[in-house]
Parts: sequence; structure tokens; C-alpha cells
Amino acid sequence: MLNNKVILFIIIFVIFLFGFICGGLLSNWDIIKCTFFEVKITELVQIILTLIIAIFITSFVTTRTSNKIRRRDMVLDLVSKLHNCIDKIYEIGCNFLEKPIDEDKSNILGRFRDAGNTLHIIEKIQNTKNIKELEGFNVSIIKELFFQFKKELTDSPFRKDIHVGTVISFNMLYTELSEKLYEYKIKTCL
Amino acid sequence: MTNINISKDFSITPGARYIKDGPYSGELFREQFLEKLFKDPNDNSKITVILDGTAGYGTSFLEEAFGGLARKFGKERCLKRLCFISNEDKLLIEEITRYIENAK
Repeated sequence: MLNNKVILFIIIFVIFLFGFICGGLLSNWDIIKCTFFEVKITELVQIILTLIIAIFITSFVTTRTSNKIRRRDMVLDLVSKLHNCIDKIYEIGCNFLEKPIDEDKSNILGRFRDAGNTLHIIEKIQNTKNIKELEGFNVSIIKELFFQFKKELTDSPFRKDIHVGTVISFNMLYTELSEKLYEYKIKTCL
Repeated sequence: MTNINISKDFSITPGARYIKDGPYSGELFREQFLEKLFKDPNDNSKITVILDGTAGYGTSFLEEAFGGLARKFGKERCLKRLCFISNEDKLLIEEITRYIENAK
């Protein structure tokens, strides 16, 4: 990943090269070569001013763009972390529904705790900071699905009372939750 | 004011819903710790439940302990008297409040 300073340098260099080539193409070197290296003080001031304005504009644009990218990456990281937790819970949950063992039980609860805390961070950021990238993320719907998903796996299955309906419902909730998270991630990336 | 620390006073591995489902169930916790504090209808003192320090809580445990309490003694009274502390799981308090509010 290139850092901001390198990007800024590349942009300035490209602008300079573009100007140099344009100047070369538009002027006749034979005519201007005798006076080319004679510099008037007003021209020098003009060049310096132009350069300062160019640097200011490029740095403004790159800072804005890189901040936006950084914010988007941060939001996507959090949502991906939540998605990974849900995937892992589903994987362990499927094994548990097939063959309930106590080790999986505590593993499931630990994963639910991680997912819940990540969801809490997303909600807190959304409520306190005005982050444009989180506008499309509907926390209340995700939270509702998350609680249903948890209930499906840690209510009757924890009592070793597993029905076909529980398994179907658990799968459906996972699909719905996953769909919502993918939908958001794709929307944010585009 | 009463403090109940689940990990210290009850278990670090809270179990399932009913006593018949296994050890440290929600029903057992409700009967042993919560119901006795709600028996006096004039007692409106606060009860603080510390949820940290355990391996986690299944829906079955939480619903039976707190939802069950709300079914027996009323949602308003439970919400008024119970306070929760959960630093390890930030969504837990909201989850419990839902079970109390939706108790039927």
C-alpha cells in the first residue's frame, strides 16, 4: 500500500510531466531557446505561486480521498469481523446440532460474545460519529436477526432438545444474516 | 441494595433452562437467588446482577431466569428493581431486557 506522501509526489510529478510535454508540443524550441533560461522575477513569482496552489489542491484532494478510503476500510473491517464470527458460529453450531458436546457449547457462547461486542462497537460508532459509510447499515435489523440466531442455537439445543424445525430455522437465519452482511459489504465497496 | 455476582455466587458455567436439563440452570438461579428477593411486594430496593466472569449465557438460561421472573412478578417490577453490570458482553443487558419485556 502506498502512503499519502508517495501518492502526492506521484501526482505532482505526473502534472509536471504533463505540463512539460504540453509546453514542448505547443511551442517552437528553436525560437524560444535563446531566451529560455532568462528568467524575470515576475515569471519566477508566477511559477512559485502556481506550484504552491497545485501542491495545496493535490494535498487537499488526496487527504480527503485517503481519509474516505481509510474510513471505508475501517467500517468494512468491523462488518467483516462480525461476518466471520457469524460464519464460525454457524460452523460450530452445525456440528453441535448434529452431535451436542459441552466443549462446543462454551465455544459457541464465546463466539456469540465476540459477535455481540463487534455489533455493539458498530452501533456505538453509528450513533456517536456521523460516518457516511455506515448509513446503509441497519443495526436494528442485524441485531434482531442476531438475537433470533442466538436463540435458535442456545435455547432448545442447549437443553438437548433438537428438532428438525430448529435446524431449518437456524439455517434460514444464518442465510438471512449472511445475505444482509454481504449486501452491505458489496454496497460499500462499490 | 443487593448484589448478585453470578460467577462467584452461582457458577462460571451457567447451564440450560430447567433444573431437569442439567446443573446450574436458569430455573435454579431464579429460585435460589431472585425469587426470594421479590417475595415481599413492598420491597422496591435495587438488585444488581453482575454478569461478568462466566463462560457465557445461553438464551435458555437468560430467558428462564429473568423472563421467568417477569412472568411471576411482573415486567415493570423486574425492570424497576433489576440493574445489570456486563463489561465483557456489551449486548447482554439489552438481550435480558428483551426477555423481560417479551415475557408471556
